[in-house]
Amino acid sequence: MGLDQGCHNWSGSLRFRPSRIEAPRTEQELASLVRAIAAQGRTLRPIGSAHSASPIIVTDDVLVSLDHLKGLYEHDERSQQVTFGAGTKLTEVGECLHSIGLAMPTFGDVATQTVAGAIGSGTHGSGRQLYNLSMVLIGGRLVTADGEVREVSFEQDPDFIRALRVSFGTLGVFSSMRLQLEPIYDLHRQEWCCQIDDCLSRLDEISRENRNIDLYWYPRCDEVNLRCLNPPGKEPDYNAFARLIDDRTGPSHKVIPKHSNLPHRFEEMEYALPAEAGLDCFRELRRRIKSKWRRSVAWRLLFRYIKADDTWLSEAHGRESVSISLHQNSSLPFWDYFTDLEPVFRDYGGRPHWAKKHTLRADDLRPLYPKWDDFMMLRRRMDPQGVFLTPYLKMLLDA
Amino acid sequence: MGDIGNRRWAIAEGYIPGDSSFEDPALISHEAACILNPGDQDANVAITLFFTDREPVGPYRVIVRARRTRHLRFNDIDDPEPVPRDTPYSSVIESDVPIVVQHSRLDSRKAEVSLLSTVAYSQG
Amino acid sequence: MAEFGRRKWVIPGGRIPFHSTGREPDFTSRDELAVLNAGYSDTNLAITLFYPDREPVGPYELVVKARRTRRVRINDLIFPEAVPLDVDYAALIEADNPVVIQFTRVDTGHAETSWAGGIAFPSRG
Repeated sequence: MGLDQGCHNWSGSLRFRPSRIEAPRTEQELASLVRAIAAQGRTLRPIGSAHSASPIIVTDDVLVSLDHLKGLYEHDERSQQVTFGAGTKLTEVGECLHSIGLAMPTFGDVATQTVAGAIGSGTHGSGRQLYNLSMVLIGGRLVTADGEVREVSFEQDPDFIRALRVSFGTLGVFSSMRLQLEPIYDLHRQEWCCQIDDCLSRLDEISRENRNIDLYWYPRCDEVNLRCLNPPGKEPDYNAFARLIDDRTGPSHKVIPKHSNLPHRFEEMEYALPAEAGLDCFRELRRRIKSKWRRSVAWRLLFRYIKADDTWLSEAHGRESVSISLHQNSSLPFWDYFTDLEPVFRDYGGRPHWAKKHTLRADDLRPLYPKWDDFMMLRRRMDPQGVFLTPYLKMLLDA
Repeated sequence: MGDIGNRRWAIAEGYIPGDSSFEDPALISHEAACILNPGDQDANVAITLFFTDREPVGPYRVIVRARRTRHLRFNDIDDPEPVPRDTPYSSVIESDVPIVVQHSRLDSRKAEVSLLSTVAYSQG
Repeated sequence: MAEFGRRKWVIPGGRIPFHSTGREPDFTSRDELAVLNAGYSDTNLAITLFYPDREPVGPYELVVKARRTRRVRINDLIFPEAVPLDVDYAALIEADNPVVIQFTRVDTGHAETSWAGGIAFPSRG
C-alpha cells in the first residue's frame, strides 16, 4: 500500500488516496493518534484487510492500519473467552484457538479478513442455527473519538455491545476484542451437485438437517452445489438425487472456510431477506438472470442462512434471514448486472451487506432497521465531531 | 487400394442418449462409427472405450470385411459389456489394416435439439 | 498404446447459443469439447479464446487425467473471465501431452433450426 500509488481494496474496484497511512504499534499509540486527529479537526478511518467491496473503507484523510495490534492477549479457560488484538487475521485466530482447544462457532466463506473487520462489517457463515460472526463479541477495548480508551463488556452494558457488534468503526476503533467461544470440534464437509429443481423441492428439509448449509447456483447450467457441514456421523445422505463432489473431515477452522486464498478477483452484491421470502426472491433472480444476464455472467449465486440476532445494524436483526449474493469477474462490467437485480432484493425487504456493493443511502436504510435511530443517536453522542466519518459514511448514515 | 486410411482412430465425443421420441429403430437415438475397409484384406478392429471417472473398457472386437463398409452402432455392441447410456465416453479404434472412420449420431430426444460436431483442427 | 493425438488444437467457429429449451443442464445450449487422453500421464490443457474485436482471453486451465475422457463446456469457463454467449469466438487448446479433441455444439433454442458444419480441409504446408 505505497502512498504514491494510492490504496485499493482486494478486488481492485475501489481506489482511493488517503492523506496519510498510520500503523500504531500499541493501543497507546492508537489512542494518541486519535486524540491528535480529533484536535486537528480531521478524520480517521480504520482498515483491516481491505476486503470490503463497498466504500466503507474509503477515505481521503487518515487511514489507520491495525496490523501491529494482533495476537492472542488473554485466554480464560474456564469461561472459554479470549482476547485478540483487533488486527489479528481470522486464519491466525482459527489456528491459535485450535491450539488452545477452542473454536469459533462458524466462519465466513473466506478467512482473509481481520477479526475487527470481519465482525464489524457483519460477516457470516451459513446455517439456520448459526449467528453471524459479530455475536461472539462480548467485550474489548475501544478507542473513542476523544482519544480515550474504554473497556467495554456485555455484562456491564449489553445494549452498547449490541450497537458495537456491527458498527464498522463508526463508534470507535477497537484495539482488542474479547470473544466468547466454544470447545474445538470437527466437521465433515460434503458437497453435493444436483439439478436446481431437485434442490428447490427439498430445500426446506435440507436447510434443517445440516449444521452449516449453503448452496451455490450456477446460472450457465442450472446446477447447484449443496455445501453441507455436520459433526462426523450425523451427515444426511443425498445420493438419491445428487452426486458427491467433495468429502473431507477436519477441524472446523480448516473445513468451514472454503477459500483460503482467492486467486480470482470478483465483485459482489449481497442482500439479506426475511427467511420466508428467500426462496421467492431467489426464483425471481433466477428467472431474470436466465432470460437476460447469463449472456455475460457465469459466476455463481450464493444462498445462505443466518440466525436472527439482536445486533442493532446486523443484516439479520430481528428476523431469521437468508442472504443471496451475486458475483461477477472483476475484469467484466458488473454495475449494470447488480443494479438491474437490486430492485428485486428491495422488493422482498432486503438489507444490503455493509461491505459489498449496493446503492442505498440513509433514507433507504432507515426503514429497514428498527434500531436505526437509536444507533444514530449513540453515534452522534460518541463522536459529535465526526472523527470517524468519511464522505461516504456521511451519506450512508445521514450523519 | 491399400494406401487409403489409417490404422488408429479416435472419436472423442461419444454419448448415447437414453431417450428417444420414437420407437422406429431408424429413429431411435443412436451413435455409430461408420467404417470403410477399402483394402483387400479383412480388417480386425479392436475398440476401447474411455470414461470420465473409471478405467477404460475393451477391447470390443469386430471384423470389417475387405472392400466393405460397416456402420457399427455403439448401441448394439455388448462384449465385454453394453455401452452405458447417458454417459460421456470416447472411443479408440485400432485396426491391423488401414480403414477410414466417420462418426455419426442421431439424437431424437426432443424437437429442439440440434447438434453440430467436428474434429477440431490439429497439429503438433 | 503409443502416443495418440496432438498437442495443439484449434476451433475457429465457436459461438455459444443463448437460448435453451428444456431441463438443464442436459438441454443447456452449449459449445462443448470432448477431450480424450488415451495416454498414461495426466495432461494439462490451456485454452485461449480469440474474439473479433478485442484481445484474446486466457489461459483457461484444466487437467485431463490419464486414460480418461473429459467434457468441457465452454459456457462453464469462468476464470479468468466468463465467456460471453452468442458471440463469435475461436479457441486454441494447447496440451502438454497428445490428446484428441472433438468440438460439438448443442443448440436447443428452437425446434426449426438445425446445425451442420465441420473443419475445412487443410492442404499440406
